Parts: sequence; C-alpha cells; structure tokens
Amino acid sequence: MATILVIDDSMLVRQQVSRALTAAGYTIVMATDGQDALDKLAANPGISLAVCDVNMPRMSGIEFLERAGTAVSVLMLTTEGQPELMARAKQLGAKGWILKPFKPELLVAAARKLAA
Amino acid sequence: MKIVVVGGESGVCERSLGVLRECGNTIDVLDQARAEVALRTRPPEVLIVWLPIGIGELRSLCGADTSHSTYVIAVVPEDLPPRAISSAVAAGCHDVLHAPFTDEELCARVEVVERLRGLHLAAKPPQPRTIENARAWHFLGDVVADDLEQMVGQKVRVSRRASIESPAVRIASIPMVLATVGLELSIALVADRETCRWLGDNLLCESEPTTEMLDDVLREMANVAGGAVKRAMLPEGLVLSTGIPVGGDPGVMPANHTRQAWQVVLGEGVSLAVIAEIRARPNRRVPARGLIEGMVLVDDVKNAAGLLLLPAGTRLTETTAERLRRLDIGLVAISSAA
Repeated sequence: MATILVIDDSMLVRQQVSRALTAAGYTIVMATDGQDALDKLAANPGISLAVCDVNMPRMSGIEFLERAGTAVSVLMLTTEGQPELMARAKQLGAKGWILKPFKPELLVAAARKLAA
Repeated sequence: MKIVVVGGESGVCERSLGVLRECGNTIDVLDQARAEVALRTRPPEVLIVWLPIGIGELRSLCGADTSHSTYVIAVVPEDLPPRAISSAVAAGCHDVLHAPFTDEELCARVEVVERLRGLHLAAKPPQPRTIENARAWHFLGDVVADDLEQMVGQKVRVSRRASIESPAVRIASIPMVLATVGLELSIALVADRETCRWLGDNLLCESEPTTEMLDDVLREMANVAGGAVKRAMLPEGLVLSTGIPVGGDPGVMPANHTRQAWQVVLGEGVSLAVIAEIRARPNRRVPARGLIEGMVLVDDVKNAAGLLLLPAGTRLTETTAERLRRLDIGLVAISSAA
C-alpha cells in the first residue's frame, strides 16, 4: 500500500489523519511544518501523497507547494476556505482541498483517488 | 499630542524635544519606571524610546500600555547592528527611526501618528449592543458551535451566557486580522479540568493526557472555530488573515475590549467557554529589513518591475519574511496582530 506524508503543526490532526489512513491500509510519515515536510520527502522517495495544512509556523502549506513542485501529489486539509487561496494552491499543483473539521471517510476516499 | 520620551543622549535629545515642542506637542522626559506608570495610568499618544536599552526593558515598556493606545517609536543609533531593528519591533515598537535624523523627519513621523489615529477612529469596532450586531454575534456563536460539533463528533448545545463553574485550567486562542481596516478579531476557548479530561478521553483516546497534548487539542479547536468564523464572513467580502493558534495557562484572560462570550456544552458538566474579541489594531509601516514572522501584509508587495510577490493579507512565515528582508522594497505596511 502507498505511503502518505501528513503535514500539520497540530499533533491532534496528525493523529486523527493517521488513524483514518492507517485503518485504510496506508503507511504514514509525519511532518510538523512545510520545511520538515521537504526534509521528510527527500528522505522518503516512496511517498505518493501529502496531506497538507495551510497555516503552519516556519513554512506554510502554500510555500511547501511552491517548493515541492511536482515531486508528490498534494491534498490540502485546512480551515481556510478563501477562493483566492484555493485557486493559488490549484495553480501550484494541489490536487484537492478538504475543509477541517474533516470526515474520515471523505479523506480516505480522496486518498484512494490520489495516492497511486 | 502628548509625547513621553525615554533615554537618549542629552544634546541630541534636547534638540529633538525642542523641535517637537515647536510643533505644538507636550513632552515629558521620564525614566523607565515612571514611563511605565504613565503608560498604565495616563497613556500618551506617542512614546519615543532611544536605544540602546535592553530588549527586556523595551518589552516591559511596550507591555505597560495595556490600553494599546500608545504608538511606540524606537530611535536606533547607527552604530547598533541591523538586528536591533527587528528586536525592537518584536518587543512591541510600532516604528523605527534611525539616528541621526533631521528635524523634518522627526516631525513627519509624529504627524503620521496623528493621521493613523484618525484612521483608527474611523475604523471603530462594531458595538455589540445594537440588535443587528447581537444577531451577528449569535450567528457567529452558532457557526463556531457547528464546526466544534463536527470536530468532537457529537451534538453540542450553545448557551449565550458563558460561565466556567470550576477554575479554568487551559486556554487557546486564534488571532485573525482584517488588515485593510486595522481590526483584530480573536476567538479564545477556555476549558476547566473536567472538560480537559473529557477532551483527552474523546479526542485523543488518552485517559491521562499531558498538558502539552491538551494545549494542542485546544489550539486545534480554536483553529477550527476561527476557520468557521472566517468562512462565515467571506460572503460579506471580509477576508481575515489567520495566525497560528496560541495556548497555555489562562492566567491572562482576554482584556476588556469589544467581546462576546458563549458556552458550548459538550456533555454533562463538560463545556467550553468561547470568547470572541474585537479590537482596533492600527496598521503601521516598517522597513523591509524589520519584517518578521507573524506580521500580516496590508497591501500587495511587488518588486521593482511591478511583479506581485505576495498579496495583501498574507501572514509572513519565517521563510517569506526572510525573502522580503533581502529585497530593497523600502517601507512595508503591516499589521502585527496575527
């Protein structure tokens, strides 16, 4: 099964996302911000999907998208619903946008579609 | 305007004070302790602090202005390293003036404060006592409760009267900024011991969660509550920029500004107090080299060729602040609340 990178500065969200995706059979790698995620991505070339928050200290999710380029498919998971921000993320290559609080079944369905 | 001055070499300081008096201002030259008393009791419109004084002392001075009504200008002598500017801003200063400076420059800076005060007054926070605003507050209470309900996975009830029956033990809040009009809105969640235990059991599946874990849960709940408010305001064309949620001991509860509180009842004897607070937060202009993480851009930032680098409303992270500091883009309008 595919490996998914979970990027969020909240331990609770990392735990909730991991719980949902692990139950669906995925292997999880966790990162606490965009910079940490770039490091984890470099160290784990097998990662096929990143589930990424937007507002994080050090490096935001949007900056992570800018830096990661097409190295990995990215699904945004955030409280932000601003159309301009969503358009910017899409332009930078984000494949999807899920609002928090999230429904685990919706997240797993999106992961199944995006994690090749 | 009433101006308090702290520090400074006597010769330079005397000349500057003479110039300010000629412009019609009232000047008090005080030592740090007396200045702090003045800031707490009779806050001046402007506080001018000559560096070097310790950053701890500067923070203490800025923190003494609990009414957030004093504009603090740090005077930075040219022999101080550039990091003194960012340290002064981080300590709470609103503006930085490089010494030596001309009389015109000093008077212009003080005049800018007067203009900012005009903008500040024009952007008064909404008054919650009107019927329309009471409805708006109720609406916000409901949207926050809806999202918290989804997060905890069970039905919650909203009470319009907030009260924590047992002592509050943890608090988390999320700052949001409406940068274009200089307003800050924050949503704080306050939990007592029983509620913390419930959150640990139900969200973390931990019967004995650590304080760090509980703070993380409350911060994320504040984040979700803030998200609900931001999305509710989007149809009105109001775009709020969000900061990173902060949490901890509830020793310092939100101050007395325009605020509204609700109680979100999660279960028997288990509830969160939700406090929404609005305050005016005048924007200010800082040199690009003084930009730091957490500041929110009031205007679009473009390079010399007119290419958009970052849009208005962007909250600077460590990396974006570093990128802008390296560019020669002069003064940047920011709101530092988030």
